Amino acid sequence: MENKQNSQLSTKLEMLGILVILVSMNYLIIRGVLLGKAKYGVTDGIFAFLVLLAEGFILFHGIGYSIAILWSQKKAKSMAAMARGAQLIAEREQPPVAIIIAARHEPREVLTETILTVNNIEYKNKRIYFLDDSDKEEYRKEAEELALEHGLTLFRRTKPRHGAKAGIINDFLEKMTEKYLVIFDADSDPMPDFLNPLVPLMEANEKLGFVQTPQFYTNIETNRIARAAVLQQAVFYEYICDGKGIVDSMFCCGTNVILRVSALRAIGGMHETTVTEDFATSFVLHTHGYSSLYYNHVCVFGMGPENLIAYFTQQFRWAAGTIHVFKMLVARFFTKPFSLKPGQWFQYFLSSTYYWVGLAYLILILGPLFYIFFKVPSFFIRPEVYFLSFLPYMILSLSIFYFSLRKRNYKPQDIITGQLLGSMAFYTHIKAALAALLGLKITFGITSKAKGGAVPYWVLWPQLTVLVATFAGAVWAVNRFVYEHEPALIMNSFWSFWNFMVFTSIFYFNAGTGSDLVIHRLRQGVKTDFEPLPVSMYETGTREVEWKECVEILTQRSLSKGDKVLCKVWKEKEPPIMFYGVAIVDAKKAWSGFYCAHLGLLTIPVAERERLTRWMKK
Amino acid sequence: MIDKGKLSQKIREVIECKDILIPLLDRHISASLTFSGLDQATVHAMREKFQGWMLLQLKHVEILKEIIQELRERKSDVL
Repeated sequence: MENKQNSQLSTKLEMLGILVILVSMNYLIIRGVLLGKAKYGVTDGIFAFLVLLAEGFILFHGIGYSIAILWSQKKAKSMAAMARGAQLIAEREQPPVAIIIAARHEPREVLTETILTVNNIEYKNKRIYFLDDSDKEEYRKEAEELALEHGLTLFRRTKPRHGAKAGIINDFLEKMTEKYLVIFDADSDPMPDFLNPLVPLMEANEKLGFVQTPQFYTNIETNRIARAAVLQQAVFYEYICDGKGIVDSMFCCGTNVILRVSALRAIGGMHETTVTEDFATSFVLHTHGYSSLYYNHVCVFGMGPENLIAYFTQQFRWAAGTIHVFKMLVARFFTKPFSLKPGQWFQYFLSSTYYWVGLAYLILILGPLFYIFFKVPSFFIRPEVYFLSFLPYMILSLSIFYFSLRKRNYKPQDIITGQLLGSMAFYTHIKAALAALLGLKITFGITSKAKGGAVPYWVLWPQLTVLVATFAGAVWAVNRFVYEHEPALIMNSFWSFWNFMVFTSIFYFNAGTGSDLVIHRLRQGVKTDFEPLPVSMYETGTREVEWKECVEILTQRSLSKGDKVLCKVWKEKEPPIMFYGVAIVDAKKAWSGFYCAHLGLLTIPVAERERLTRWMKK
Repeated sequence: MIDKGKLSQKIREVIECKDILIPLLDRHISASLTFSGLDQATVHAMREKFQGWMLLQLKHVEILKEIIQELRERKSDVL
């Protein structure tokens, strides 16, 4: 029954995909023809062309997404067979696998978790290497301690510094003896069975260069940036990667991946000249005749960026890296066009151009504003023709996007949040794209694992400028319409207001995260008491990102940050609520002589937590 | 007779598992439930169960730490 429903859903998605491709092309053709026929001045013409280019870019990627969905439906049917096949081959003798955890100045608690989960991988013939690239003494010492404590082989660069992560991996490649290489980031937590299906897949095909698995952020319950980022990851890992896998153009994402060492050596190691070495290396592997596979099962959990700065840093690196590879791609396309198949070229062009989306978005924001404030037209299309051609495209492309993600259990509000967060990165994408295109020096940004928090608003000046400008545009257009009665003004006012609404989300994303959002003061009539728990040398501390709820209480004794207490809170005539394992954020002495303690609740049952929340509410 | 050093080591491993790995896996599974497609009531019940287990884990860890402390203070091995 479920299979039948899935099959019907797949058919609907396929039909929707074809329709989206048709209406997108229809809209683009109409826009192109009308632009060609329009009588305009030089400024109008240039601007109109830029707007059409921006729309064409969005449509190109929309079509790419629809094609990925069409292909992924075929893939869905073969995935079960692939997994069954993998299980059968798993009974053979295990080839040696080197697992590397690459780290540079990472928090100890994050590394400890990763090491423990990697150590727990069931695969017997494995050796775990800790590739420490830190140059600060305290981190180097910490790496040595961790390696000793958990029985890892510590590896450091053997040559003067070259490349970033790719550089140390290349040094390691020269020394290692294992057949396969598995790469994990410092915050990747694999499941114990991670290698069980992957090694047999690699063993079954000598030309298979690597198998990539998805990434899934799990710090989403307490952090809204990470939660929105996971939705963006979902768009990529759920369908786009599936589609890429079908036409043998899945690229390596730098973590959660198993690579064939002989293939890497054959191409001279990881590519070191870009900040997305994984993407560039995949391209070189494919041009050398190696294939790749995408295994769409979440086997590794990670941590997403927890504030806007961390998110922008991550986006900057990805954008700059992929556009840098775009230049490499173009050169190769013109010199050796047959080194990849057409489907592979298409997919690589899609991936390497995606981050121009920031510039495309800016042009589309400026389009209505230029018309409203400077009377520079860019559409040259009658409103009724515009609606007739644009609305079907808009409705169908949004439908396929939401429908496809709904099919994988993502909720509409989460999907919208993911899209909004992506829009907030427009300035970062533009900066990164231009820097990469012009060959300017790019600083390698590692996604921060630090706890989130609000960013000063002056840092967000591009988003705030758009916010003010679009609001002013929407209001001014209505004002002009009152006097001029031009219907196009209403259309432009609508888009300006739309963009204004989109950019108001900057306040949502920058409202502070983690504890900032969940600290409540216990209200009158609630009494509290606590008893500090003994701290032994094996105490590992409590991760702040794990907070479910925070309360603020007044105590008569001082407590230190990180202390754990057994806490009791109660109201008159009601049974007390007890909770264990409470992290103290701070306990400053208030003017009243009491200490104000912020407690992160970790171990309180949900029902009790709800009761506590009720007490805390006004 | 069990060597107290070996016993301490094993207990430390159990503590590590209970104190880090289980809460970590709890977090991963709990987050995965968000997009599991299960109905809200089931997800809520499962999360509640995870919370209960975490409370239990913490109690176990405290007891194990007491045992380790006791072992450290002992001069002889353990019968």
